[in-house]
Amino acid sequence: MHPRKALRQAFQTRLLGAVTVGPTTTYATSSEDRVFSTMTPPIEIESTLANEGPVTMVYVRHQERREEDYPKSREDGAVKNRMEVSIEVLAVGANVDDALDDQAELIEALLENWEIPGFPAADVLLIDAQIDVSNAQDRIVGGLFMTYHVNLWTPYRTDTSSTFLATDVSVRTLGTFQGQIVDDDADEWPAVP
Amino acid sequence: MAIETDEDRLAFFDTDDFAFTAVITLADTSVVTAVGNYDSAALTRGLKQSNQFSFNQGQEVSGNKPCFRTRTSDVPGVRNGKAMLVITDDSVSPPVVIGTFSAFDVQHDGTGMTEIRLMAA
Repeated sequence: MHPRKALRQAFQTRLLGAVTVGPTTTYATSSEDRVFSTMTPPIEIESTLANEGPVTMVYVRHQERREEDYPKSREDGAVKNRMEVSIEVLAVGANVDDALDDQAELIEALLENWEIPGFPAADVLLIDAQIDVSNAQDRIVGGLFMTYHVNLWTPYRTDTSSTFLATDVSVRTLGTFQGQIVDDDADEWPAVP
Repeated sequence: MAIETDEDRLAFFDTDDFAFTAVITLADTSVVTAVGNYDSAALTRGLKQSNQFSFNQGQEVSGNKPCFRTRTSDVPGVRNGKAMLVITDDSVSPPVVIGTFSAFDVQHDGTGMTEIRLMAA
């Protein structure tokens, strides 16, 4: 599974916080089971936000890897992925500012000391939070927009039998040295240490 | 010199045809009645945000933008957030209550007409 997908799903599960005891399921926030890890169709004010309650959405909008994020050998290691995760909460009501600030407090608490399943070394850092309120429609609509930076590491070229390496070896390499590939193109391929 | 009178304007608000009736409760609990045009256009918009970290956030929200347009002389005491309107369609029998709203934004256009933006009560 791609780490972006895994990350979205992990955030969704964390923000749902579903606990089922007998016939009753409780949730971590007032968005209850309305936590999505994807874009949805436009959310309806009346049928959803007014009748059911707030809605939370999680997106991974950006992933960045810098050269220094790769193993120095460019082989057999872990690569750092700099992910930007957006959390949006939408709500309606006369006290929408209070509702959104309460949600923000819950979300910050849920994520502050969170160890992401599958990524135990990941950093989860709140970088930015904004609240906006609109009165353009028939109810006051408020939005909470939180941006988290998540630094997580994934394996990089750890499987020497992978298709990628096998193809590459057959085309480009002159041989191997102590398990490292020795190639014929120093401009494109880092030198073997 | 006014080019039309309140009586002239009333011609636009025939409750047997296309106009609606609003029973308006004011802040002092007095009640007035006005006839006018009710409209609730669909409106979908997003609370778009951007900052140095994120290029675009903001899920779209679909709703409506209801408003009631009437003669200014019928709503002299209606102020922003200080009146409740029960709007009824009298053109059908029995009359149908469209909804109960608060007066969110009262806009006098200066020509004897007033548009009241409504919020769901």
